[in-house]
Amino acid sequence: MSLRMEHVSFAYGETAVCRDLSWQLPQAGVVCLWGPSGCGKTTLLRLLAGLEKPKQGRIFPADRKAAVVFQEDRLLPWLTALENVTLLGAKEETASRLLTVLGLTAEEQQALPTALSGGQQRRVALARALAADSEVLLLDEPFNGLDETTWREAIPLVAEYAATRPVVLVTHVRQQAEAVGAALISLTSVPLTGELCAENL
Amino acid sequence: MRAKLRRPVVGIGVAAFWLCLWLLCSLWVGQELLLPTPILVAQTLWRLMGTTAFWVSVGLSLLRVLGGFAAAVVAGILLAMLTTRFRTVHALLSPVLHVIQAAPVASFIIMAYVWIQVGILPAFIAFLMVVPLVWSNVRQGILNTDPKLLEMASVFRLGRRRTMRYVRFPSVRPYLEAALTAGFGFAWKSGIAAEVICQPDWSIGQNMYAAKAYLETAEVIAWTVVVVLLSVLLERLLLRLFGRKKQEVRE
Repeated sequence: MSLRMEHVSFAYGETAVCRDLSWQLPQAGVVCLWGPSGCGKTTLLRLLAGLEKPKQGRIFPADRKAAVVFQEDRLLPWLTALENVTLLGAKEETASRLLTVLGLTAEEQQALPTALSGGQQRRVALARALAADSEVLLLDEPFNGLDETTWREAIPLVAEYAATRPVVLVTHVRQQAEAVGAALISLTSVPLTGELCAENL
Repeated sequence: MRAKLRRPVVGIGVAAFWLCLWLLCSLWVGQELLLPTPILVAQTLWRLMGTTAFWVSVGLSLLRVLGGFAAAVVAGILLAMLTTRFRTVHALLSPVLHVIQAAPVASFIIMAYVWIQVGILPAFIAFLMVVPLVWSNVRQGILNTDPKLLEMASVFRLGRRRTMRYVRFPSVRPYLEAALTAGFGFAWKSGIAAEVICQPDWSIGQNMYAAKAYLETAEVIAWTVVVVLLSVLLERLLLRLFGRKKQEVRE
């Protein structure tokens, strides 16, 4: 069953982010949420992740398994890079493969996050989300702090995931959306209303 | 290597300086009743260590204080969890714990003397002194746990047990360790103070009180040395248990 929002309304206090919003996510593939800061992209991800409850309306399925790359890395500082990925149940070799593809050496995989650069921490956060057992992948500016060569190396991993499950990507870099072959949803006005429709890039 | 060697050499030098100063002062005073020489104190300590009563007293004092300390750690952690979870419990208990923290230990020893059996009173006093410290530190640790990490744990369905093990406990750990190291000193000192006032049988406090009553100043100091040495030893043991060395203060 694919993920969908039905007549969802949500507000932070008096500030409405969405009103009577509906959105049917595809069974697979990448959807890119595109728009200026403050237009509700992160809030939509939080609603899909189950971190915010809609004031009205519903999101199906209720027991959805989401994997998220947050705007911040949110790595556990007392676990090594590899342990941060295996923590969610991924096998050590799967986790290590992902980290290797993302450019972390065996030594760096055994290091604590504080010993890694910002870009390396970002890649660990991405590997953790990709390794998690999930039905939808929610990426909030996942390539922030990564140079073009590195984020391009990560694209096939996202595409591999997107072959069977939906991925929602928030980014300000159009090339990233294009590289991953995303359908684009432009968010312009707040509060978001009506039916969200994607257009192919 | 040189820096490694330098530290004990400096330590020995400092100890030698104070011992010499003590020796000079006691020679100048010239009365062992007022200020015995360090040599006499060492001889007295050696004599005490040759008796069974010494080891039984030390063992039982340790047992009382450690018992109270362990109970306080468990109670402190439970109270911290309860007061963080339930506001009403916090509102009810917080003033009581603050009063215990602020009141002089002697007041509690005297009051508890009336209510509690002398044998377990030092344990109770040690317990009372450590509970507020563990409670406030652990509570602070719980409150300071990064909500973003908790949110991550929730999104990735880490579960209650693994969230406790991998997120909550490591966040609280530094606060708990600080409470345990500081709390042990409190427990030990207040427990011995309670023993001196209430004099339970076979205790360091009772021996100190008896030595004072018979004007055996060298013996009072010898017992004090035992208390200090045990405090340092156990604190080091505790730190080793946490798997880290005491942070060195670098100049």
